[in-house]
Amino acid sequence: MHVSIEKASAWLGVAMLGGFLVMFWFIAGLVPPMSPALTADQTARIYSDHDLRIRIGLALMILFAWLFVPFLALLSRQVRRIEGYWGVMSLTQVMLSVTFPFGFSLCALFGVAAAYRPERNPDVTQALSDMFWFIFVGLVGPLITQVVILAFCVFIDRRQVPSFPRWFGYFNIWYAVLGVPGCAIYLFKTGPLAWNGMFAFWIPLTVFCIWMIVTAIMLTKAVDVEAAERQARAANREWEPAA
Amino acid sequence: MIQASVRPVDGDRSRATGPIPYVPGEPGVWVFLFGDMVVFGVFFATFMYQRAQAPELFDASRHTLSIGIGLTNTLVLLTSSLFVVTAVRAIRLSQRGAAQLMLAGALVCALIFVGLKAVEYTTKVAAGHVPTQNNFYLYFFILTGLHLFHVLIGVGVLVLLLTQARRSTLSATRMAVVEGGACFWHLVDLLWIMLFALLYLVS
Amino acid sequence: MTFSLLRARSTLVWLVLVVVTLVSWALGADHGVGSTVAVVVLGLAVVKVRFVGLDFMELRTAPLMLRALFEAYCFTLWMVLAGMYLWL
Repeated sequence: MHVSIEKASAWLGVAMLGGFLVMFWFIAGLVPPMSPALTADQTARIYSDHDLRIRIGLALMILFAWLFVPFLALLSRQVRRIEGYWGVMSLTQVMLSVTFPFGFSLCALFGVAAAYRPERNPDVTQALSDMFWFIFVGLVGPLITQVVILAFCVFIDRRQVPSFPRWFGYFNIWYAVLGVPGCAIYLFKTGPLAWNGMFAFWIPLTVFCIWMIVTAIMLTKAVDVEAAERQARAANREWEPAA
Repeated sequence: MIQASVRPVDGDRSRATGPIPYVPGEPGVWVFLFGDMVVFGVFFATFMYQRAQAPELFDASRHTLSIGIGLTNTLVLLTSSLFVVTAVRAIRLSQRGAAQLMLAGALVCALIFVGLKAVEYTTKVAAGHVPTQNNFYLYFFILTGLHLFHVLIGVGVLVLLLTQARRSTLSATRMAVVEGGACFWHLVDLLWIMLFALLYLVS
Repeated sequence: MTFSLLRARSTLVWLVLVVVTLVSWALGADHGVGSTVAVVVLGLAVVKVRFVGLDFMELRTAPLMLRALFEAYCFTLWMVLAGMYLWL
């Protein structure tokens, strides 16, 4: 039963990835991102023109952002398995996982606030809109840290049957390096490091989607490794390690 | 002292059937290396696209670059790569002293590169060429900055290789890490070769 | 002992790389906009990249798949960048 729930959590993460794309892209139309170089009036115009789309898409995200959490919980559990106990790395994973849904729901709250009253002062709308992008695109630290810790764990896993193959560690490092440029958006309004830029938005978005899918697959395999280990322990009548 | 690695030391031309194909490092490293190469390829293409929007501007701005520093940096990195590949061979031959010397040389080169970059950045900014000046300088600072980030990681990797070179024997896994780390440094060199050509010569 | 280590293919490759660097610098330092010299300089850069990959990263003796991927990368890079230079 553990195994089905855990695997379902991994795939729920992928489903939510699709959900995120549907909510932010197809419904709200916020991808491709608006330009940071727009004036307050232009920005306010976008929010009032697409008022309903944006509010519905973002409201759905505010409601459903938590659906990422089981995936992250599974990730934390696998790190815990490698670490051997609820140590620093596993607990850091858990704590960073708490911030992850906020990367989507908190920014959506600002986005909805921006769209809520089209008749207001455009400067206020723009400030709220800026906050949306700042959180959505710029808050990269937590996830980068999570994957670096994950990569580190993959490499130090010295057990007979490791939870993850070594290439997955390198893959996570690749993802971390490519996710970093997102933090530069606060310094640019145009160009590749602006929140609509190639380096700060499109590449991290693409790499994030690839990462979630690959990680979900690797997590389901790790769950199988864990289940096999549990069975072997049961056959040898050994105690199961504490949660 | 027998190395656990099966790697023929110098290509082993004595075999009639030719050398055994051998993955430098481990397969996982290449996921990262190729991934980085592909993404930088996208960056290069983005730069060329931007150049096509304003060829005269890019050419004019290119001429304000200190090509001497760029050239020196290229030669410095090439030399550091030579040191690294020689060091790896020295490790395979169990010549720890030589390996450490080579790696120290590579580290010196790396630090020279970083120093020259710092000089280049400060002189450019002092002359008024900042990232917000025009598209060329925006991409110049971003691309070389991203590369510099890789160089700094590379310095860490070289230090790691130095610690491994101190050991009398290396297990197969450790040897793979050493080779993988060396390949990462060569990647840093390789990317700079392209950047030098694109930013300093072709624009 | 160190010098006997340096008497190897990799040192020769390094020498070639240095020479090619100097040649491309001499060629490319001043050529104006939209000339074929730039395509040559790009080509020389890719040649250097190829040498670094094959001889420094030791891909010459790697499994075919890995080497083929790398060669394909070099070729594609040159084609795409030169193409963008000439026709965009």
